[in-house]
Amino acid sequence: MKNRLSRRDFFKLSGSAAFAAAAAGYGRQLTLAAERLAALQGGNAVVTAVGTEPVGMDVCNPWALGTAFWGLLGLAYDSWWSYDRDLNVVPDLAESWERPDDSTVVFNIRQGVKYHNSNRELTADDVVWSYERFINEDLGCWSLTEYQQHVETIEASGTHQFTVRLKTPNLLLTRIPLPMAVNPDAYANPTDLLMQQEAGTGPWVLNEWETESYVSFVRNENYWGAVPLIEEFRFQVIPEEQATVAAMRAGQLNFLTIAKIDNFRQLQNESGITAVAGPSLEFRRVNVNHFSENLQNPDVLQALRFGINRQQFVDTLTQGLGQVSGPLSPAVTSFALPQDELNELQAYDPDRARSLLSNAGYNDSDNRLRLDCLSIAGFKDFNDVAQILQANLADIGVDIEIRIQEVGVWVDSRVTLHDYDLSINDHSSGGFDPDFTYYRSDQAEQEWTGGGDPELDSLIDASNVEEDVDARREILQNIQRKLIENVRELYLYSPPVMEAYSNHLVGYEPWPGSTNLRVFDKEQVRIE
Amino acid sequence: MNQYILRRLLQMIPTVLLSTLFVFLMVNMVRGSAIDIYFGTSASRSPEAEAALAARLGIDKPLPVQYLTWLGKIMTGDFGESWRYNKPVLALIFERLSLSFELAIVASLISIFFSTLLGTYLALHQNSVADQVIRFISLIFISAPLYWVALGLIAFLSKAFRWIPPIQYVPITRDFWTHLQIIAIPSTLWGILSVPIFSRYVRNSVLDILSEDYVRTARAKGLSGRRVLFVHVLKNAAGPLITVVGLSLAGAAGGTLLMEVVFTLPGMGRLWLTSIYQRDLPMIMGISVFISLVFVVANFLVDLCYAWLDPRIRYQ
Repeated sequence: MKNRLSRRDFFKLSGSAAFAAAAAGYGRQLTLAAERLAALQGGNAVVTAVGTEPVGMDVCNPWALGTAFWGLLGLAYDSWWSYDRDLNVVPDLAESWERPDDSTVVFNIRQGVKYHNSNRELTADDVVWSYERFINEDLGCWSLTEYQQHVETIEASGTHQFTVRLKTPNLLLTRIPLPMAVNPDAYANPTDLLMQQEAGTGPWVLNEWETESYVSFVRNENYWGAVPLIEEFRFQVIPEEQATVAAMRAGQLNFLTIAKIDNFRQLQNESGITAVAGPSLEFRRVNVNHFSENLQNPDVLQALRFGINRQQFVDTLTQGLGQVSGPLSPAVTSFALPQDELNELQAYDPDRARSLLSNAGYNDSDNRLRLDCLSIAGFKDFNDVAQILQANLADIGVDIEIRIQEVGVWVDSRVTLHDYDLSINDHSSGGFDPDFTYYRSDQAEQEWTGGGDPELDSLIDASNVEEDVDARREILQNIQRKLIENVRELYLYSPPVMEAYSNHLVGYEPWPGSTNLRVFDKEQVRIE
Repeated sequence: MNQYILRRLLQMIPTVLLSTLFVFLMVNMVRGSAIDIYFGTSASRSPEAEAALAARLGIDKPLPVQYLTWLGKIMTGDFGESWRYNKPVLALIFERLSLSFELAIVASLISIFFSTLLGTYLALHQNSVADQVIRFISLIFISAPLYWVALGLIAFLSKAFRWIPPIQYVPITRDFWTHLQIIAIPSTLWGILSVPIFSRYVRNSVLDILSEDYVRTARAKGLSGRRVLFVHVLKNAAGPLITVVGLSLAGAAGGTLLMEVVFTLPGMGRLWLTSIYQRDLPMIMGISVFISLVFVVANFLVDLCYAWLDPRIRYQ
């Protein structure tokens, strides 16, 4: 008689045990999920997602091919002034400023502002140290050319006062490049770059950084301004936006900026989540390589200008939530060209486009114009934009070959080789007071694309010093007209800024034009 | 046998070195350098700044000098620092290697178990209705893109259960239950999706063995079907499966990229991909050394397994 366990009975028992364990595990998962959801909702952290990990937290850091960098930087570092919701410039780290003459601006620093994790107080000497770092050509800081163009010197004129002497008289406050306040003690060498650490004065202190996992900030309890009501700000690195939507539904995120319209639509119908879309400062454009032999004929450029149905981009890629754009997003209502004038300057007129191409010696049968168009692999909706552009231009007799490139190769094409005709790109005015310095002849971008127009340069310089709003509007709109008429670039559309946030975030209102993470501390958003 | 083992170990060195040389040359032939990534299309990009950066990174020297300098440091165990993260390369690799291997091992165990069951069943019921149906369904699974299935699963879980695996990675030493939740679904999915392929190996292998004389002899001797299967058939049919699973485990050293992206896991795959995008040369080279080593060692261990399974195989 066998008193050993038979193989069949063993497998039966094992299977039952495994099933029981799985059921228990599943039940535990649900419990934990509920606990975690409650913790997130009842807890005191904003948890959001970024698609790529920020490269570093240095204010100079040009490893900035990613949007996450700027948002995070603004949490740890204060700016000298900022905008309120009515788009008025208000003091921030600078308590006040005076202009004793056309070429001098004196800034008075708030007293008692301490750096994170330090007893050291911010002084004017620190500002000068930071400025000297920004103008160090070996570092190649992102704003170097602005300093070279506009600033003579920045000097300490008191313990809590620094003076900016300008090369450009009457330069608008919003155009003056100002070095961010950083703690020099954090640097062994001024040419070092702070990567996963920061040295700021802002309302959020960098707490943890798990590479390719998350970055966490905690509130600065000693902040000179309104201490955030929320205790923690965490950025989960989630490369796939679909996964962020799922995480939002599962309650693992409570705030999200969304790039793709389909993902936004999914969250619009979710209970407990508010999803909002609004005009953004960003717009899509097509770089035109004026070095290209294919684009030397002005008729060809004008044909491209009139051969694009910009409304189709808005309808297809933003489902009507975006707007047709010129060189300035329509969200900048004070200075953007009126929509009807924009529609006229960028009218979709395929007959006119074909006629212009015919003048240039092309036709839409056996002598079609062939161009190539670069796009960046996996970057926003660039590939979709390229495809619609290809379809539009095919109608007028232009065959576009789309070359999707990895970002490093794209930079090489644009900056060094210039081996393309067109390239999908985007841009943002950065604020509601636009700066077109980017289009000046002496700027690198024009060097790379064969641009530059002395008449345009004069207008740009004038726009940087004109205080009267109406006069400045006239100048800025003239700049936009010239850019469109000369086909400096091809301007397409402005996508909406899309955000989703949990209804437990009380007091949060989207900022006009872009996501502004400083809303959470400045407007005392809390979690209930 | 000892001589064989020693010879194989010595052969690994030039293999690994040649592969790192190949990677080094490829990275330097690809357009877009670390300088392009660093500055992008920033207006502050100037010849002075580019030269200063090149000097800082050590890429202003001729390629042979760069490679030999790196090689010299590797020989002393110095893998250098990541240009992007400013952290030691080895530390970053080890942080991630355990997760990638863990995923791969769990997935492999699931896959081996179900592949063996399914493959054996299909072989024993060759050409039956069940065999035809299951093989057809397997084709669908083989064709289904892993990335799409994973994303679909995440979307389904969030919609139906308001739950997805935790997006914030927690190591096993910190919280066992949360860690289990994090890796359970990606490793199970990966394992299950590998079953159709692996089970075909098992099925074909078992079919070959079943037609062997010694199996017929074992049956004729009156051994039970179960004994014939487990003692005589499966042991001899294991060879091809071990090869495939062994090499697939080695592949995990390069990371389980698709799973890592969808399930937000900080594994080797994402690290490697990011390093390539960022042209982070010390990181790329460090990871390449590791992956090469793992592959050659895995190959070697698979060969040793063969010898253990089949006494007829003896290496000299």
